Amino acid sequence: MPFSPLLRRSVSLRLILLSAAWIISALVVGGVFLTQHFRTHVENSFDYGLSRHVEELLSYADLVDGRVQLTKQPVDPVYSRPLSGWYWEITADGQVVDRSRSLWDEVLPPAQQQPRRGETLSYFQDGPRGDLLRVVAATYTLPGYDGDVTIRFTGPAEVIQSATEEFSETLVMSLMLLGLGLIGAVVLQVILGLRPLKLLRTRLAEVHEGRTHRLSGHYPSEVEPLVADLNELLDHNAQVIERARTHAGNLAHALKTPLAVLSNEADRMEGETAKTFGEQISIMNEQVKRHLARARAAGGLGAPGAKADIGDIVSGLKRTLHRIYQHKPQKSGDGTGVSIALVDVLDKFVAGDRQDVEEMLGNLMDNACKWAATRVRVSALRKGRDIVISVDDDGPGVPEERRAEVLARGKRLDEATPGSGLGLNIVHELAELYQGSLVLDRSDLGGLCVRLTLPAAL
Amino acid sequence: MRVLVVEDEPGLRRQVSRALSEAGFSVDEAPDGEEGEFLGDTEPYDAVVLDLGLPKIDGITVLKHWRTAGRDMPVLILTARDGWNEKVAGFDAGADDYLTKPFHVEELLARVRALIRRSAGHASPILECGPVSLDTRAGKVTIDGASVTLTAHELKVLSYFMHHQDRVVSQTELIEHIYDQDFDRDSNTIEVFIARLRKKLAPDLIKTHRGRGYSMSATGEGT
Repeated sequence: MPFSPLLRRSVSLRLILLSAAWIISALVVGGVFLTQHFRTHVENSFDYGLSRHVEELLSYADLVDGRVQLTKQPVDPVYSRPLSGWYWEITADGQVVDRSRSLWDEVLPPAQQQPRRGETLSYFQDGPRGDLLRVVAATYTLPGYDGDVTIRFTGPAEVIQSATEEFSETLVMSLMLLGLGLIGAVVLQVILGLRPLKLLRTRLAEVHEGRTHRLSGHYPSEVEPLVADLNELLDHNAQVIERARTHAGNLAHALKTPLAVLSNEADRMEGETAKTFGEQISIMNEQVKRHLARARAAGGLGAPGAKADIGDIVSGLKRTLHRIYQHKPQKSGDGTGVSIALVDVLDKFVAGDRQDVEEMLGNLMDNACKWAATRVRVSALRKGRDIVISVDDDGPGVPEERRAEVLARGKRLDEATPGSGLGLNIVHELAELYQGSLVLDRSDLGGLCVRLTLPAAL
Repeated sequence: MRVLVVEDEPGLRRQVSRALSEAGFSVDEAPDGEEGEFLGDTEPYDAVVLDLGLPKIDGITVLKHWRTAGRDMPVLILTARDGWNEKVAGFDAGADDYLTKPFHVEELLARVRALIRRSAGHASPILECGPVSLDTRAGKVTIDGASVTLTAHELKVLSYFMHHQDRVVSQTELIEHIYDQDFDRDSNTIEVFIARLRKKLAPDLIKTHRGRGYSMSATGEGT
């Protein structure tokens, strides 16, 4: 069936429209049938009343001198009211014997159908004033009289008409109410019935936005298998990523130890070959590091529902960096170490893999500690759908014209400073993979301010 | 100074041990976490070089066990894993320093020396005691500015005294920190080394505390 695009898209709309079509057609057919039935019923009652009068009039007919005569007139006053539509007429062999007073000067138009002897007929016929009449006609034989005696009683068809109309008006009203009620019930049923699907969609969106790892909640037995399958898929996905990451880590471990052995051997050797070895080994090492970091980051992006606690990560990094830099001489005075202040970092969650976020923040904070004179400050701020983490130091900073260079691929400002890992440019790449950004600025502490923006998790 | 090297890769373990020995350390080796933990528990090391990815028991667990058992020797973690989460885990487990593979042996030696020096409370790499000075980086000894040539064992004994000045060091302690576990230890040789040091440097530099041991201090006092 050629559905319109909207209809093809929405199951709710399909269900509601189909049910509405069915309900409306059933009600219309039912309404027509009921009206018809009622009309027949009203006609029958009407006819019954008229035929009772026919029988009454017949009982008044008598033979006087071989001629048909009425001994009495019907008493019902409606037959005396002029042109009321309530008429009667009695004929014998086609000759009018008597007629109701209500006919006044008029003549009941001739019968369309002449009932045969012993037969009673009912039909509609135009009256003397052109109004429609309901007619009951019967033909009898009187004992001792050869001819046919035909009695016709009429009543205004309008009575039947108005009763039927009144009925069908009420009927249409109540059927319409019933129809609206049924359609309302269908809409309610569809909404309630499809609610688990809507819930599922909301939960999936949450997974997608990184707020949760799996689909939670209870679902009806029709949806439950789907949810179970989806959860299995999500778990499988997470496992694959974890496995890939472990493999990458193992590969790095496996490569780095032989590289360490080789590079130390090369250090002990002399001559051109040793130099080449040394150079190539350090290139290999850089490659391993870079690709490992990228594989890790790319892997983390695929994991839905990942969530990283900034407060937790930076406190761990603070402990570690405190120890790493505890013997670093301070620029002023003869103290050692770097003081790291954490500002507003609690209850801030970033949508992303913890390890990746830790890697980015670790590199930023390490860098800040490396250049700081005495102080480093890490602060976090919620800004709309993002979390902005600022790492400030009181070191020399980076002049504005060189900032772009620092973030450029494969550059390090001071190649001589032993890097404990990857430079700002790698953090920049990672941040972009996460649809975030990395901006360098001047810090109010006097040195560099690195602002890392990452999407927030809720 | 006695150092324990826990590393599963034989090539790297040999290199590190050789470099440390050449730098004047007594070195014990362990190829896995289990043996490493046992040695660290039973022998008094001045520093430990600990790999993290170890067979049987991993490095972090070994380190945690040592720290819970109250062993506070400086530990340098050596690992191929350079992620910050591993670094944080390492330091939280009680590591004192962290070196990622591949590394230069000189860097490792410098870090180990610095760890030992700092754990004894010295900030500068050049230790001084009265007229005597010891450059821990080069193993050079001078007295009143004049350079003195010492044998490897003499240097080990002097270095231990220089690191632990102003306190009495027993003969057993000295033996434990100068020889590695495979060495045939003889307490008499200690007396010989001390006699030679007194002769080469200054007669009253190292004091004998009868029944307790020896001490070295700039003021000539020992407690």
